[in-house]
Amino acid sequence: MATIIVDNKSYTVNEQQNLLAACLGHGLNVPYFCWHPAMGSVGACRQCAVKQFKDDRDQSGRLVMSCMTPATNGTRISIDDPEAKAFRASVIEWLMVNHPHDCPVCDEGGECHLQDMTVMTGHVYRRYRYQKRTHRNQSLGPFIRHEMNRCIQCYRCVRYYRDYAGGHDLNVFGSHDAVYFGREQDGTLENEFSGNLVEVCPTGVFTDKTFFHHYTRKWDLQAAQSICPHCSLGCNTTAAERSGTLRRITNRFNSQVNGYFLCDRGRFGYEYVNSPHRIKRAVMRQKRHPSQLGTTEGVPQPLEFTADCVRQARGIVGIGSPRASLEANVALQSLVGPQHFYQGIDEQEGQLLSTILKVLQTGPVPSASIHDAEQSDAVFVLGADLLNEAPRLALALLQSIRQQPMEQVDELKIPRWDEAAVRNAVQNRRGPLFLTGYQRTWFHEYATDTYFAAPDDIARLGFAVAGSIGQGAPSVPDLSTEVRDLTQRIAEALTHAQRPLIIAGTESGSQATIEAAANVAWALHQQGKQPRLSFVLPECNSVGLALLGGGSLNDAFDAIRRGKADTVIVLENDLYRRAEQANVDAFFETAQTVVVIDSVENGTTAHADVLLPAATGPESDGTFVNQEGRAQRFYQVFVPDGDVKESWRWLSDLGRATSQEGGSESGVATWRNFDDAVSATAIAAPMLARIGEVAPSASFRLVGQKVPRQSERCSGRTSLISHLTMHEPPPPVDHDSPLGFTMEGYRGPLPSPLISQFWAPGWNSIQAVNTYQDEVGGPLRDEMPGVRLIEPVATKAAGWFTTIPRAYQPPTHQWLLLALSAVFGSDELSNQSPAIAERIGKPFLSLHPSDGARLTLEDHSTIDLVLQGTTYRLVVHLDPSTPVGTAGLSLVPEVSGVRVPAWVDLLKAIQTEQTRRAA
Amino acid sequence: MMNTWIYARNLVVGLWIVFKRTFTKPVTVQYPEEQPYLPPRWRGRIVLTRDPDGEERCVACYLCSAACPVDCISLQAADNPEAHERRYPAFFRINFSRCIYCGMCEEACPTNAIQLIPDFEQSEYARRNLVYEKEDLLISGTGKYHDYNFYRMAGVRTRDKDKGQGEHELPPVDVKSLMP
Amino acid sequence: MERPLTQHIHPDGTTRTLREYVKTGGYRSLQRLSSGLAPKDLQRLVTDAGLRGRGGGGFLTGTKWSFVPMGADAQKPKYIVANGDEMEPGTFKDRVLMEGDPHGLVEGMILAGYAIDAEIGYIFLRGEYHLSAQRLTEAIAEAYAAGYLGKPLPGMGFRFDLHLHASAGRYICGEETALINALEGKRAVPRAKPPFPQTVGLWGKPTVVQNVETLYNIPHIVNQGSDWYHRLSRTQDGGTKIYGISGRVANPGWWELPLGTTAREVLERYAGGMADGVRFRGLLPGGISTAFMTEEHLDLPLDFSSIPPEVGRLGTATMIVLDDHTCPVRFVLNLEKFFARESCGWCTPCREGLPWVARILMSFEEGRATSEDLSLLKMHAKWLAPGHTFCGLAPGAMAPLQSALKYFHDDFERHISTEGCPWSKKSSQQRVLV
Repeated sequence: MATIIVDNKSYTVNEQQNLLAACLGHGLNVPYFCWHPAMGSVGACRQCAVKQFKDDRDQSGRLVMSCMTPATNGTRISIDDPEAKAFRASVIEWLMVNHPHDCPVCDEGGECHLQDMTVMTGHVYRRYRYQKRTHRNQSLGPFIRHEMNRCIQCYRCVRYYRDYAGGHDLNVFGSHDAVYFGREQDGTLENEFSGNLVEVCPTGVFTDKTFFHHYTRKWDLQAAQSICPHCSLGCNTTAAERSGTLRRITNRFNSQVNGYFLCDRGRFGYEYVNSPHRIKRAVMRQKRHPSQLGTTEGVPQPLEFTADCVRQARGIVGIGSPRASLEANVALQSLVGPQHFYQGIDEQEGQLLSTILKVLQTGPVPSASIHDAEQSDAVFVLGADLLNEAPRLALALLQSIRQQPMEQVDELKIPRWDEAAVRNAVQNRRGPLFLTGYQRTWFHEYATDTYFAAPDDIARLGFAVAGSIGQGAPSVPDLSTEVRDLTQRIAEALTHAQRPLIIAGTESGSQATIEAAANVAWALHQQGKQPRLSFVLPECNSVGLALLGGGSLNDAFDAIRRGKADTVIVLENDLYRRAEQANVDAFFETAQTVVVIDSVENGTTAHADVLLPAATGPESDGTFVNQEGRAQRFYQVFVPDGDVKESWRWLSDLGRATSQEGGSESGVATWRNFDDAVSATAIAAPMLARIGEVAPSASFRLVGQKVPRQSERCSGRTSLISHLTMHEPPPPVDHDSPLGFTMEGYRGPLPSPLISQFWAPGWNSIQAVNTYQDEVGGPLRDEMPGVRLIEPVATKAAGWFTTIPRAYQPPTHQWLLLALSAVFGSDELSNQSPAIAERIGKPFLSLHPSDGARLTLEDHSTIDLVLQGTTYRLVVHLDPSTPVGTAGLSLVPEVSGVRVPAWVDLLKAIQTEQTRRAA
Repeated sequence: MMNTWIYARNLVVGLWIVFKRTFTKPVTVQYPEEQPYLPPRWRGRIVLTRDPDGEERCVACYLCSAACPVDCISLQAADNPEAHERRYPAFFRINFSRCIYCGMCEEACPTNAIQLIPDFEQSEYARRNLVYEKEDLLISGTGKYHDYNFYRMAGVRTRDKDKGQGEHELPPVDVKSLMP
Repeated sequence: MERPLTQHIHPDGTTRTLREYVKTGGYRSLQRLSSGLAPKDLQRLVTDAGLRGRGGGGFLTGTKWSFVPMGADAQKPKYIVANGDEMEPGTFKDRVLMEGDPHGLVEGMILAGYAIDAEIGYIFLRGEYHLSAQRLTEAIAEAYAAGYLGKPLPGMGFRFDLHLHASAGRYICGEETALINALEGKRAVPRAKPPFPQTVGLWGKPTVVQNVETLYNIPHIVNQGSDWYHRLSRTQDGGTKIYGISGRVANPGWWELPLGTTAREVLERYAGGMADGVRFRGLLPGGISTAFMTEEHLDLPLDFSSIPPEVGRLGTATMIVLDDHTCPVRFVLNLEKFFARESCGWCTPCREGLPWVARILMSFEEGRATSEDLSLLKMHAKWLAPGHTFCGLAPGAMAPLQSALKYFHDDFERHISTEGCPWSKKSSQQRVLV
């Protein structure tokens, strides 16, 4: 720690920081543009100028850029020095020379960093009376709008896109005051993290195009804390609404999980909430004769009917969902009883999950957060396609490869925040990143080594590495030279690292991969290192549901098939994505009554006899447990219309309706509000005991006040519905959380789970996050970033996994069909967004060129492939990274019914143009 | 005795004053045949005006609704199918039963779209008729400010004004040019 | 008077071949390396000689070299880069040397490389210098063939490889760190210092960037010693300097003279004084990014230590003369237009401020200027100072402007009061297209 003197006052700061970050951390307002807490300083904009003095006798001092000056002990500066203030105002004046008169029509207005800095420096008069330079815009795809006139040339966009996110197609062109930031030609931005440009850009050059389609000023938005439901990483977001429409998703800073950035799927995938296919009314259908019956006062008819069915059922099957909240799943489990509760995932996935939980619970190695992943200095990925399955983790690994070269940077005495100097010193050197899988993406160009092989071979590599590191760990004897050398390189890199990380995925369905990853981590642990494990899982609450437990989907099908049960309640789960169509069809046919609680129409809801409209994430409160085991709370943003209610509330009402005759209520029927749901969840399984600590309870108040969801300037209150009615009803009351649906409430420091929008006086843009951190870039003040439910208790591993698969050798005429996750297309909910749908590729089958030759297929040709009874039209991709003897199927909506992995005889199953003509 | 005289005197004086009034000019204004003079800046009814080229001025910037102290203005920016169309409000509603005619919206408006004009004749029997939609607010003229066309000053491209055609704008930079 | 750099340059403009070069003692200095002159000795020799950078900065060359980490632990490979980007308007001295005597650069680079243990050298050459490129390419090929390059020097382990790189354009490439970025294939935007190129330079390795004329001096210092070098000059800075004059003088050109020659001597004795009919008003001593010197300064010795900072700096010593038939405002407008166009666009004050300055000067030219414009010009001259901007381009741009405002303030005022340029109202034949 060091002491600096600012305007004659002393402050204690971290001397590893630059002066700008140090001042901002103390709440001193120094304006800036090009510095970014995640991207360091480059000293381009000159906005952060302060006056530095040699000592206390120096009266004149000199102007320095605070972002490029280290906060060494004894530094003496003045922010309020008149010359410094005049210079900073001049910088704004220079930026305003060419800035267009766009604020009224600019989406950034009201949360614009340039507006904030202009006000902060006090520049008001326009003295420049000549002409402004103008630019033509580009169309950059369905996510981002481009308006180059507004650019203030802070260079943040290209630094973020190219240096931080590894993208290639955005760059800076031209020179002097004609520099242009864009693509070489119009076209969709390719990088999966392009959405962060809208927050990285301090002006309105890059704005959210999906938001533009229903634009609202920031001050008019009603917002609450949300958790992204589109993958298992659980990035924190803020969801914002106006007039019953969800308007946008923005990043909500969490130092351990997503930090400052989201992926495009999470940012732009929210339109399912506004989808025209939303289920809004409780519907009762006589079997196969859909008709909608209205609700009467009091208990809706569908609920009554369902309660009757439940009471009279011979047996009941409750199918939960890994995309439903913990509380909803617990509610269903309580309603039907634990012995009748099924997880709603297939056998194989359930098996993998239970292995993963066993590894994390009984092993000595902890799981890694995304923040841990960023800090890792050697990473070994087994079988997961991170870019498509868990994109934000891939973004973190792009930063992890900068860790090891930092040793040299420190030796050269270059401060780590001096970004340009760091990159010049490091050049192209990268830390170790070993990626294995069966599809090459652009992310692989950052790997030290890549290994494309079938899942069994990948597992064998993992076991070999573990065998090489760990004493007593089983090794793999019959490896090729190439793989043996690779094993050595990986083992060496992992053992020399300070913070090695092992990542494995579940998409390949390979149990052996999980076990191999565990062996590697345990081997490193045995050798005295500090490894971490990270498992990429399919859905946002996969871990939560696994901790709760429950039978597999097959068992549920069995129960109905054997007549042990006749009534089915499906919670937020499209079974057609989980099992073969024939089985699901039979299941629904055989069941006497099918009750479905879901939010958007899908294959399962079409079979419902009673369809109860579930609230989506932004319309309800709930808890998700992410792949790390971190339980995080999300809150209701707005009260949904129609009959829509939280799933747990439907189930609790159902519980009450069911027990009405019976007398006393128990279990879920006693739940009155969300706190009850949380308490019940905490006792539903031993691992869930700490759920209550995630966030304050509904009765939490600050100075007797709730926390408002709306800003103080939220407008239009008396005319929003005045065309429908002149009555001004009071705002809804939220009994489930400490948040309120009004502008009134407490506006001071909050526990971090209750912070939805970041704002501070003078800081209307997302840069306001700085004011919530003690050290800018670090955790929020008194941050509560969720609760890690799984921490290792053992000090050493109980024993190695020893089932090493044989080398992959497909039977003749059989190919292993493997899942290729697509960031746009594989996730059920985000596919409903028009912007995301535009980015979904055509379904394809990828084959190794030699397999392509064997099957006489041409690259990019169209084929018909018969899989599990259905014919699919696919495009052929001949890709050398597809392992021989396997075929990759891109998981886009058209093929969502296919169960993978699966064996296919491609010689028989493929029909090309020729064979079709020949037939 | 004295009191009676004082009483009588006061009575006569009073009656005389009243009688004199028979011959003075009444101050009654015969409204509605005679209209009072209201200066142009008198804060009365709110209108949405058009620019000198005839297009509606309102660009749905939301500043008026933010400035309104009683939150009686609500609007929604329309989603333009082509990015270079003008921005305009899909709906624009003022609840005049709440409006206090303060003029903060006019002061906030950056395009001179929303203006208060000296018209106070808005009385209605039913409160719901005091809710004005855009069709009720939009007039065909420029209101009090005759010359201002926001889009000629702004940098965005619209149907009528391309990049570089605004006031004080250079033609757009040719990025691919090699000239310095 | 000795003229070590240029005495053998052919007056007819043809170049010197390797044979000619060796005959007059070329590459003889390399023998001293094998006979016991260690790199640190060479560094000390150059330091003692007081050689200063001739690119405009005037930094002690020996000191510059001393910052390069030496020894077995130092990062390798190290690089020596010749800055032949000569794009400072008015400057042509490096071109004279490279076209006339290309081998001198090769020898100088070998020595400089040896001094800092750099085995790879790059000549970053201004792309428009086609003739220099051609001649340097031939010279380098000759040197490779003769074994001076590419092979260990006789009796030594040290070997040197030299590459010629022609720039794709832009003035900012003359800034040493922007030059390094350009060599790496990146945008020619300068780097912040620290770290200095001597620690983190080309491809992150220790690099020294040296002006071409500076490198030409090194073989002669090695051959004849530091005392001799000091004796060449008139003042404390050692050696000779190529001085040039352009503008309306009787005899514009270049001359190699002792460092410390006065401006008056160059102007009157060598350039023959002003041309007929015009009188001297001022001159820019070293390329356009220096401040005006007027009559009162003509007797200052032109070297790196004798010009007081409030007067200006020497720069490249190729002078541009302002006569009384040329409008100073138009003169400065031309310069500022150049600077505005050549800004790299990285930092705000230069990128936005310079075009503004140019436009204000245009409005002077067009008779539309006001007194607020004068204060705006002064504001820019004050703000675009070293440390306030990212590199020296903008402060260099302000040097002629600030000094013009100081010495020719009345001329600026007359543009305002007469609503036009007084010089345009004179005979149009006299209109100068600077």
